[in-house]
Amino acid sequence: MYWQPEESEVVDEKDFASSLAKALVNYIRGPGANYVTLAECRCFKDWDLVSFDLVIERPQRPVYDIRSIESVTVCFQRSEPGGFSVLVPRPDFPDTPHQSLMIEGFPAGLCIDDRPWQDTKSFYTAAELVGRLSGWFEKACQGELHGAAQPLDPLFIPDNSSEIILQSDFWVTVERNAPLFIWAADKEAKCLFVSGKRPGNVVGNNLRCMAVHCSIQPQVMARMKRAPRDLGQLSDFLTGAGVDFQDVLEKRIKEWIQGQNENGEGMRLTCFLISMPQINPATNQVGVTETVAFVSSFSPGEIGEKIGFLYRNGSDEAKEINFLPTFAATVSMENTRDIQVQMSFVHSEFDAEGAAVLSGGDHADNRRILMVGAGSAGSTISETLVRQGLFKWTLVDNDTLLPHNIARHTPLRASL
Amino acid sequence: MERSADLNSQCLSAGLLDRVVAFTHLDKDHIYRSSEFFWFDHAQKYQGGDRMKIDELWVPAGAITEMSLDDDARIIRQEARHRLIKGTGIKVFSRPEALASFLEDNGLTIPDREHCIIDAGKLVPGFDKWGPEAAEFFVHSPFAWRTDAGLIDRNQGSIVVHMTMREGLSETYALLGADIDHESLSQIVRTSRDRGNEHRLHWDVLKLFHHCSYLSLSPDKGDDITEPVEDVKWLFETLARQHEKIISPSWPIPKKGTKEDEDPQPPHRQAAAYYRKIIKDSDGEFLVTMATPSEARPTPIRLKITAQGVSVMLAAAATATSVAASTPTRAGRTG
Repeated sequence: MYWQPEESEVVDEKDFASSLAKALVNYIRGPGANYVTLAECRCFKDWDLVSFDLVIERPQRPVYDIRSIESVTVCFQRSEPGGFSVLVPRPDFPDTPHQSLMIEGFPAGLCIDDRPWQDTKSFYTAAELVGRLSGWFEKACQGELHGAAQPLDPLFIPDNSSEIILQSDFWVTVERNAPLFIWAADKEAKCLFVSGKRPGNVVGNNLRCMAVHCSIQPQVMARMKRAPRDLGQLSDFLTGAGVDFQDVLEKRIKEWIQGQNENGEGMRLTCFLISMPQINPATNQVGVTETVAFVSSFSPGEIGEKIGFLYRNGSDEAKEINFLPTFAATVSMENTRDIQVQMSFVHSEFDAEGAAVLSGGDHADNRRILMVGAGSAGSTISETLVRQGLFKWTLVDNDTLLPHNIARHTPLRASL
Repeated sequence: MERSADLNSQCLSAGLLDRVVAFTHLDKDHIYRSSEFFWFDHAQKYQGGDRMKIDELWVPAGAITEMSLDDDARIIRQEARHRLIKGTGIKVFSRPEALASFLEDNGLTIPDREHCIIDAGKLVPGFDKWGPEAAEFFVHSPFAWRTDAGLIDRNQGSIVVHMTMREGLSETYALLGADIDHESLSQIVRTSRDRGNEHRLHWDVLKLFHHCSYLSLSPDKGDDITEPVEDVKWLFETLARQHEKIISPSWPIPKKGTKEDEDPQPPHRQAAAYYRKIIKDSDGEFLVTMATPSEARPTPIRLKITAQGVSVMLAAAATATSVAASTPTRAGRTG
């Protein structure tokens, strides 16, 4: 079976907009003919779809249930940046490492290349695509797919998804079980910051915006196979993983509201941050702990009203409070199935540990270093090393930074 | 020779330290132009250049004792005799007594060269599945037939071995066939069963006997399918492991009614039909050397043995035009 979404149509490859899609078809018909069989070409919205059957280098006892021939659909984005995703549509495709987190309703998505598309798009070939795909299956069969991280598939994330940035105090705040603040850096709320404290320069009523964090115990679950589309589905997943999500929401939201007024214009947003220790099914060891964000455009109070533990104050009394707790009401997550949630990317604020990892190290180097002279050489050298997560610095320089120094010194005009 | 050059370069790139070359028997189709490819110690004219050196030569007894050989067969015989007289770099698969006359003619005795002689029913020395080579070879043939006149070495004296390859606690078995018929094969099966060596017949990989000839299965070809004799049927159907690989070292299987189908020489369509039938239930594979991956451009079949068993290596990964690093050149998102 191949991925044949509704509203897609069979086309000739000449109708493809993606040059890589056309190249793939030519490759399958040419050098790849011995082990790849073209099935069909389709167009669906902004994607060119190439479906084919691939012969797999499958051993007698594969670690995962991979078949000798697998049906695959590769989706190429027609518009820029023009990346691609690899889908395996059979519903019983096994859960393996190096699969992307896909939205509910989409097939399994294979992560065959973890390099950013922007870095590789200029030289990517059909031969490399098929080679990597074959290699993925071969490694899956041998249990050699390492790294249980589960990246979000970039092609199937909605356009209006956000970028969530966890500030440096996030994990400490989570450990203390303290409230989390969330605010937007821009009007469209594309970038959202989450921290244990709210910056003084953020204006407006913050009660309409809240972040909730849940962590799942590794022994309870394998992995989130499909990203939920609504709060009800998210609740189903977390309940299945042993988290009493309804109870978590009730406690958090009631603490947050605390009898205050959530009214007024402005953004309403609740962000659910789920930490999932990824268990490698082949080794049963916990690998990377992935944190995924789901963002709803409902405020915490509105969510509480939907669930049933809050009701909207329509009376003339206590007008400063718009959501009040209910008594003996039916409380259920079923009514949250019409609260859509958008999967969003999570980033950690850049710090020494992050810098070290990005530079290929394991941990930041916290040795203390004294630099005497922070001139043109010292400033450049120290900044380069800091950006690699190296050392805790003490700088000694008795000179004054003047405008003409900016020609060679890394500090900016704001430092004058 | 193109395939030979390819084989040579693969051996070199694999960093093989000790090369064993086995000539299962001296039929022309098994040794053709080997005098141009291999380095032979016994004469300088067969040395030099990029000829492949042989660290250990495996031959059946006939390669030592046969007379009236010419061309490549004679050269191999001379090399085998040279090495046996020297006492190094050779294993002769034989009943020791079969070589007594030759050894005596050269001033040697069987005890002098017993380290070079391997009888059927033994493991080939120098290989240990628990050693660094992680492999062992059990000899099924040549073997002597017991008759009223005593032990006789039949013409069907080609080398047949059972190979065990170990990866961790997982073992993979290969039955490396040669040009023997159903009678010899049946005798191997019966002897192995009688001596408690049935486990030496289990297989994951089968290099077919006699190029997919029906005679390895039965005296009767059949119209569309050859039905094997009982012992051979047991070997192929009961002792095969799941997802087995059957390799036919042959030309492409002829289609019914073609000129090739009329050829008495193997491969025979009817035998291939039997092998294709038996792999169905166990989800195995039947591959033909001169038709894989295609008849137009066959390439050497490479098998990969791991703890997960045997798989047929594809050319797919090798056709990628660039080898890209698996670690990101620029880290993306962290969580």
